[in-house]
Amino acid sequence: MISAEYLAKFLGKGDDALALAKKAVEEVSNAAKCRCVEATARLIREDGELFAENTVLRLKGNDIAELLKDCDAVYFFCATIGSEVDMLIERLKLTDLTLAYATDLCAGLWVDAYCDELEKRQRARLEEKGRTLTRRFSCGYGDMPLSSQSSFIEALKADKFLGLRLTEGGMMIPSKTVSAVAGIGYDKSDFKSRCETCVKRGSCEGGICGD
Amino acid sequence: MIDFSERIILDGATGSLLAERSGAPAGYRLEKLNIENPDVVYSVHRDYVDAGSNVIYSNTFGANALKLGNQTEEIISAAIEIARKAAAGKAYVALDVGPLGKLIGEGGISFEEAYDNYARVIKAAKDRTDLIVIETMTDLADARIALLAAKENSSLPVMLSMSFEAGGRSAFGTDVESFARTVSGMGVSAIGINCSLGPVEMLPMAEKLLACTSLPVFIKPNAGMPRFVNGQTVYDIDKRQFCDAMNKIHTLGVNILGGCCGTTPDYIRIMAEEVKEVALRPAYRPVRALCCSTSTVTADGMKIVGERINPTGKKRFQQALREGDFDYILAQGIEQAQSGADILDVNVGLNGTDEKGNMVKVVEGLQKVVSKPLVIDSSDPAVIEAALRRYNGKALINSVNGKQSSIDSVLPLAKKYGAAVVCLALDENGIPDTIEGRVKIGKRLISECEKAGIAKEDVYVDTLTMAESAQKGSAVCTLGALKEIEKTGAGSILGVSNISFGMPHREDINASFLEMAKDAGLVLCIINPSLINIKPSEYARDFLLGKDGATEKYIAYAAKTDSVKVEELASADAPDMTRAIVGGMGTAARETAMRLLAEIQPLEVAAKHIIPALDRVGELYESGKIFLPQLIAAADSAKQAFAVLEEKMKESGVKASDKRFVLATVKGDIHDIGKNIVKAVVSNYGFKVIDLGRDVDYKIVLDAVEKNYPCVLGLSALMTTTAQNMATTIELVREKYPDIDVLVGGAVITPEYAQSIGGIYCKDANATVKELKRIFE
Repeated sequence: MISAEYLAKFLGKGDDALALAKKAVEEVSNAAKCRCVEATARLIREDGELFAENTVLRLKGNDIAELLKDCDAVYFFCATIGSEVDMLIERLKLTDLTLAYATDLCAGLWVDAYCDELEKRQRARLEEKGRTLTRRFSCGYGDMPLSSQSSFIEALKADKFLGLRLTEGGMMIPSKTVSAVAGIGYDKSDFKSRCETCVKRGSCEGGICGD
Repeated sequence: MIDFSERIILDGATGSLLAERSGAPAGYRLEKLNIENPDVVYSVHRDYVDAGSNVIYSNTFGANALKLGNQTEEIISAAIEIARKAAAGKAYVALDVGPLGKLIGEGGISFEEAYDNYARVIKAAKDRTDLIVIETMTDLADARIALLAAKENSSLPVMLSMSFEAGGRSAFGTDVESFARTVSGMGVSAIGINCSLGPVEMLPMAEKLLACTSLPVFIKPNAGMPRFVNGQTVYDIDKRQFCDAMNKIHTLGVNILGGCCGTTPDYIRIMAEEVKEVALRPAYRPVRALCCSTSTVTADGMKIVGERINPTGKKRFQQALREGDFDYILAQGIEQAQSGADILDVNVGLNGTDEKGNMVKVVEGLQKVVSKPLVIDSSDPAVIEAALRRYNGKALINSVNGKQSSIDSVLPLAKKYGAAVVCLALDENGIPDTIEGRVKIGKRLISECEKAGIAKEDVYVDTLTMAESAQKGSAVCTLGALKEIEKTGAGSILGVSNISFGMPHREDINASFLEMAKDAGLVLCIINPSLINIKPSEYARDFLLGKDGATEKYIAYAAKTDSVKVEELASADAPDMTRAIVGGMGTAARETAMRLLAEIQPLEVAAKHIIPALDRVGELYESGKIFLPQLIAAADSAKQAFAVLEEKMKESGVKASDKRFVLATVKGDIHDIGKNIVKAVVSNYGFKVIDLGRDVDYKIVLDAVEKNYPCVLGLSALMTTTAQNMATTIELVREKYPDIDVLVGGAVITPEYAQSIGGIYCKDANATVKELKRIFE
């Protein structure tokens, strides 16, 4: 899903970084099992709130409203690379902290790359029909609260189909899991980049998420 | 009373049909319809009864207090009433219990909370149904808790099913065999598979399940694979295809059939009409097996039980238990698994420590990092039970012995939790020193197990290894008894290393004894797995057989082997400390420290060699010449050098550092890589780090500060939602210790936020070291 060369960019310079990246990529590719539940639904606007039709998915916040302003439907999904990766990272933390660090980073990039693939596939399907897809948006981006994750899980029955669970702090388990929504419209919507809506904007030293 | 060995037709997709008939949106709590629209619930049940279902599930899948709060009892009661009315004596009614949908354990709800919620559901039903069905479980932990709650709060029979993905594992990683082995011994009446897949995909799993349990099996698949289209879930096979596939499953020997998502009453009707006979099932072949939630170990040949999670005679391990350093203990488990252990023995009994609490923590921790079955090793039945409650698999209890009190307290636990059991060949009169004496106790215990309802394949007799050096003939006695036990059909187990006690070069003797025991039919061998590849030696074998003059010959042989090793070590040419640490070479760092200690004091080695090396690492890191992975590797190497110094200081009675740093990832947050890096780097600078772990409750932080004050507190948080918990923690600690310095860090923490909650911001591990130096100076 991602290359060792790409991962090495985040780990430093030289052969050591590449060797470490190779190990991490190998570990993750052995443990990762990419699975998702996805759906599309008409977008309903009611009393200033946004809903996916026939579901309990409610999209809260100004930033998501801005992203979806020209859209009449949404594509949403939960995607995970599975619980085995969590076990792997826990194990490495106790035996090889260096590799644990690289593997954790790698797994994060892995699930993102998987989401990119889902997004790309959906965009291609829609473009055949003359429709467009905005960039994806996740709970915790901008002002969309992390607590919205539960409505993604419920609407997609991701607890049943993917075995997703939420921690009391609102984090999804398996930990390398993403829930996201993207808008479907007719025009190329003018939407903000991930950096502009990121919670770390201003304090981020740059580019760890790939942007 | 329902007979599970009969042909039984279950119901179908109650949930999908309710959603469709009521028009509720996806994700709506359909259990509320029991109150809001009882007629629609009745109509769905009624249609399944008319279609030929012998058992219908009440509309209570998600009816628990976590989802429905105070309405839980009312909704469950209404659900049962409707189901009873619809069944009208023509079908049995099952109380349907689905997963709580919450993470259980760290970061989620506690075991007790989960148990209480399930117990509340069971109690709300007041045994007004004919049976209880626990279904669609993906987490074996969740399934076991629900089952314990059902068995302990009701006398009704229980059916239990889990959901598996196409690869044969549940979303939480449990495989069909481990599920079957774990649950079969826990008092369920039938076990099964439901949801997630269609009958075609489920067929090989049904076959597997039949091979792994003697209990009746039920299969309740979806109408094929689900897809979401415009907010609706659709399935890909029709009733004819469904029925054909179910017929094949029935032919395998599955006598209880039903449907899950997408199977309308029509699907059930055609199946009920065509499947009339009781399924013929091949005889179950008992297997000696232990499992954890993700893998099963079948003891068909000799299997290795790792012995190193045990404080006996291990100072470092004892220290870890006293200080609550569970990382050290878990690492022992991982290392043994990696070096070939099939199963891990867990013993944390140590005077002056909380054995029960520690046992639970280690058992829970190991299940997160290794996929190996565990042996619960304790002499205290309360400790054994606490561990068995939390262990998601089929464990081996170590041990019961021939004393009546032991039989009375341990065997009921093995029966209740479906565990296997080690039977020690000793009793009120001690350990017999004859083969006959040990075999007699072994046989008595095998029959006691049988009386308690424990199958013979779950019994492992330990004929006890005693030091050959203490009494000649010990090995011959142990092995002789072992051969006799093998003839009974029960399993056997031996701790190996004891045999060589008091002798030089013990590995050789252990390896030879192991080989002899294997020849005598040993099933499980408790040993340090890193020793299993050592070749047995003739000298050791002769010693164990008690041959004349063999002891002397062995000692001479062992002395020769040892001297070679010392020479190799002395001639090693290691690089200096800075090169070793900067290069992340742990072994070199350790060896260098050992060399330096021959000349100078430990504190001097630290101050003049290790700390400068670490400072250099810090500089290189800050100037961007090395990166985090190298920094961590360097810290790890320095740790190895420090370990050598610590040993030396303990020997000479030098006091440990009193610069204490209490470190925790805050409540609600389970990201701890950053905190672990800080710990690794900071400990090397001579600070005493008290690591409280992650998801740490406020009160535990306060208690640790109280115990260690004066100290500095370090808190980490990675999520915006948990940063607030950092503020709360600081507030609570400051109430009592207004002057304490608190260092804070983590992905979402900014210097501004740190300041606003009264913390000192540290951007990384190096910054933390600098702040600590400043504060303590």
